[in-house]
Amino acid sequence: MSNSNANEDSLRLVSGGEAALAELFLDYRERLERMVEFRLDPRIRGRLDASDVVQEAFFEISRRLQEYVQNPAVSPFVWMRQRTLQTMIDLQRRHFRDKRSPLRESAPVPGAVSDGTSIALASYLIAEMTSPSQAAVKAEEMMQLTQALESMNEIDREVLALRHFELLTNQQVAEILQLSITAASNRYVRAAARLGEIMKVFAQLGNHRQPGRDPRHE
Amino acid sequence: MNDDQRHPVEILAEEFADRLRSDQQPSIEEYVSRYPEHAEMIMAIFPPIAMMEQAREVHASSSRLSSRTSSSNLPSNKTQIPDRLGDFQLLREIGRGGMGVVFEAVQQSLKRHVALKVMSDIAAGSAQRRARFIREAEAAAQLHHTNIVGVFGTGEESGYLFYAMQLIQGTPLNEVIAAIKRGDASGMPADATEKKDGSRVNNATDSLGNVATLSSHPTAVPREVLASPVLRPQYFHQVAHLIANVASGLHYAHHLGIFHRDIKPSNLLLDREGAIWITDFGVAKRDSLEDVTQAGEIVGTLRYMAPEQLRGTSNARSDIYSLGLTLFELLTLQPALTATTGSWFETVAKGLIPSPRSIRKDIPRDLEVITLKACAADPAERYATAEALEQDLRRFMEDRPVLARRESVALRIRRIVRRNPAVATLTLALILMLTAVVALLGRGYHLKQQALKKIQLEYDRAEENLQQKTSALVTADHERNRAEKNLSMAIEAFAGVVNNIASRGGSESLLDELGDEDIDLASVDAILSDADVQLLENLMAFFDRFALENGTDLSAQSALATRRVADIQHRLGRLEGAVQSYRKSLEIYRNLAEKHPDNREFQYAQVQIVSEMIVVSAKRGRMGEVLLMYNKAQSLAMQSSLLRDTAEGKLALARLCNTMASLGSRYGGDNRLRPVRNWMRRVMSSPARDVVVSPITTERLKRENEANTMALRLLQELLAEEPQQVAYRLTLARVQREDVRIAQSMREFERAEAALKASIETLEKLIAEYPDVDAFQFELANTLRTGVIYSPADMQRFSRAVRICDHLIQSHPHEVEYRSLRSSALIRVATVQNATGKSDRAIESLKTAYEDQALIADRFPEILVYQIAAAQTLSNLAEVQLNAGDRVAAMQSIDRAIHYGSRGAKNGRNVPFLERLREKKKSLQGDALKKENNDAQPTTIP
Repeated sequence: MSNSNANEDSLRLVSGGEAALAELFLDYRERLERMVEFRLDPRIRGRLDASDVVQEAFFEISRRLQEYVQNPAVSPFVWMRQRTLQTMIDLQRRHFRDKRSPLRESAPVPGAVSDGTSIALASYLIAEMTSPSQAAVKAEEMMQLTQALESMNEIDREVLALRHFELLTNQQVAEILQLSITAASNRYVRAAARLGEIMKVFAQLGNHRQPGRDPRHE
Repeated sequence: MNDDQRHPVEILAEEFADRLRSDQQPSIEEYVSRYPEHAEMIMAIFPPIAMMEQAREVHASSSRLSSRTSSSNLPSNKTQIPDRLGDFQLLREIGRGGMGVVFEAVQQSLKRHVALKVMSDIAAGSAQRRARFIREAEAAAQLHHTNIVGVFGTGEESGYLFYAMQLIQGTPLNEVIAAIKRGDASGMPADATEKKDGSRVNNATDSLGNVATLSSHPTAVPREVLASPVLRPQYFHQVAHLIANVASGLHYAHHLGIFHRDIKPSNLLLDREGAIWITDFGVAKRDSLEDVTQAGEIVGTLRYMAPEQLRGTSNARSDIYSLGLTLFELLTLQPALTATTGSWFETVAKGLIPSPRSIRKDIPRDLEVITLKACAADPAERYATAEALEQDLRRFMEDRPVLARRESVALRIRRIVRRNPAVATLTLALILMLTAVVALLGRGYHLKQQALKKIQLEYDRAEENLQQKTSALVTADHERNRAEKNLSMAIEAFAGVVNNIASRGGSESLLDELGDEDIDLASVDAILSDADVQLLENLMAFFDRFALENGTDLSAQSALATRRVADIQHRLGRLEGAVQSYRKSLEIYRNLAEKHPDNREFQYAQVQIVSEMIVVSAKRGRMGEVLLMYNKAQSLAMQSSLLRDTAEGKLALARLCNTMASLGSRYGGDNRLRPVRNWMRRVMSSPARDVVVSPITTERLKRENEANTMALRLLQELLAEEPQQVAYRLTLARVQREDVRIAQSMREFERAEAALKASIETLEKLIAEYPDVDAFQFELANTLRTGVIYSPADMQRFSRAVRICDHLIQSHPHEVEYRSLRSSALIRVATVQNATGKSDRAIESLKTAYEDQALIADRFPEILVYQIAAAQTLSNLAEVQLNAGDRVAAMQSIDRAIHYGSRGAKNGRNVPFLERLREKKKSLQGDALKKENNDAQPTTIP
């Protein structure tokens, strides 16, 4: 999405009220669902559907519309994404309330769910990085991959997730993570390179079954 | 976006990822050789990018398919839910709805396989959702139909709510459509075919997919070619058959008072026998049940929702609409509404659904007609029942003529008009627009039967002529003359229709232009809509294009149409647009008058338009403009012997003068506010005779007096010739009424009284002759409320005006002028009441007056004068309340007055008035403060 589009959306929202909101929401819906799909804690995917979360988020968003309109600090998409993410976190928290949630209470990186991203990334990438025949050891590999991803810079990891799992543009990434265009772009290249290294190590791990090696030290 | 700020390889990576996503299969080598300077970096980052893209792709397609658990390696959701719920043994997850997860399960007692919908416990936590879930099950369990997935029962176990339903081995239509679109009947993602239920996917898709493609080896055809797969005629029959069956199921459910409310491709399952099943009555709502969904909650998928559903109401026709969109998608293989261009809500609300055949030429015409009727924006234009839709689809399948076409000429035409006026041929466009106008008129506007018939006749004639015209244009050039004659006849017919629109509700300026036999048309009540304006604007564009392309001079018609557009805009309160349209029309008339110096029509028209423009400018509070235009119009009228020496010319001039003279009383200018502000107090405290007038007022008064006297003289001349002419008499009554005000202001009280009597008499005579014409009643009420108060005896006059207005408003609740007039009469009533010590009643009268004015002011927030009027009334109300000792109420009135006053002051006008209101508020607050011993309450002035 280009800058002018974001401005246009913003204008639509500020002047168009609820109708514009529903309209924009429809435009964003797919992206928001993708975001939830990606970030939802794997342990509760059976209980909570991305579209449920997004629908729930919409009610919250429409309740807070005035608040946003009075002080539109970010673009409508980023705002709705934040709200949706928060709704998801709240729902998850409610689910884990009695089980001492492993999720951190607050995310140090704006717009991220912290270590949730690593788990989500790992769960997506695991099938690509390991051979399907080794399903028996998958859980362990999953853990290792998560750890490997943890070794990455937190923001770098977010950049990858946003670009490739939420399908956002560099500009949107920059806005969400509060980076400059240049920084977001540079970090992306660095993060992708780092992931490439992890991949290489992991491929070796997968082939030679050397669970003792720490990929971070490769 | 500024690419300079970005890492060059990141830009390349973005392109690479985009190409991966659009399935272009870019190679890393290609990038390495294209950008050798970045080779190393590309080699380092493109492989992980490709991997991430693939991971997402696989994940997405596996979650799209119903059995995520078996295809992904995520921890199974099933582990969270027990293997057994009551009588049901859970086997595997087969899908997810908005409310929960669907499992394949075995009902142990009956040894049958069922689909078990289990509500997610988080969702179940909300009482509202719980209620909805149970309601859903209850509603669906009543339904037994060959095309509806049956519900066996509902239960609750281990904290889970669930219900059991028929297990259908089927594929949702959205997946079927996607597969056909790929030109690939077996086009499900590869891993789907490996699953144990994979066969169902292929079989189901085949039943449509095989007839969808011509190629017997679909996979051998390159993808690009299949961007728009060829569909066999059988495909369309098959689609009609499926949708007819869905309609049959829907009709059955509707019959039981159950609406689906979320019909869309993904809720329709195609099984391996090719049967279609409606599933997920997940948001079905039973007629009799209390609506437990939260107000404003949007259930279902927005994209398939009918316009009325977006507004929060739904019924059987909403389901028909959604099914219509589904049919559309099956025919065109693309959604009817794409949110890419313009406003989506507007698209839905206006029914801007493209014609299916504009997307695929091979779609049978009848199916297109059926589709568009099913998803008409206006529920009234859709099939009344799902059964009617079913029957029409069956008619299509049996090659019988479908009903949709026969009963929906207007529908078809409106569709084409709104689709793309530029595409329709010019002549066709006119027919269409005529019909559309007729359709608009005929639809719920309480148009009198007679008027409608007349217009219908005109329309019939027009269509006939225009069809001739069309063929004439096609066949030969030498027929052009005849064709043009036909065209102008059609335009005349159109003008008749337009005049009717413009005169609805009794626009003063148009009344007399209708012949006497037409005059009852003017009493037809209607709310003009933007659609009226849109139609006329289209027509103007048509005139322009037609003239350009045919070398025909249609300026006169164009000028008239433009003027009518302006009239309508004016009445809609779109003043800016009205001014522009009037200017455009004036320009055309001016050119016409130059070309045809002997034609008086063009000159009257100019004077009349300027008169209207003066009114508009006055409404906008632009008194400078008013003066300029008045001088211009007057010199135009005086200079032209054509105008000076003819009855029409005299009338036009008289009206112009009267318009000018009456502006002060009708719309107020900036210099009118000061006297008005103190009007109540003045009238109450001193006899009207002693009103002191400022030099500015004197100057203006002099001008008004001159204008009105001239109007009076002209009308007397005219009436001497034709004493019965209605238009002359009506104008005379207005001029006489204005004379009352002017004479009074000039302290010529005898003249004022005589003029008042004369005006009342003129109007009463008119009413005696034409008792049904509301416009005359309106004028009488207007005269009755005129005149300064001499004594409480005047109360009778004002009360009579209020009564007439009450009556008019009762039959025309939306007419702004009627309410406006009533409020004015009420204010005068209040004045007398207050002066005679009945302040309670005065307050009531003023409140009623304010209610009328607030209604108008809120409806037209951009019209300053309405805002100011409301503010003034409130300010007067506050004074009376204050005098009556009700400080709190007075404060409230002042706050409201400031609210309207600020709206009225948007253009920086009338600020002194607003300032005074604020001062008043301040002093009231100051008084209050003093009384409260300087309680620490800071005064905040907005």
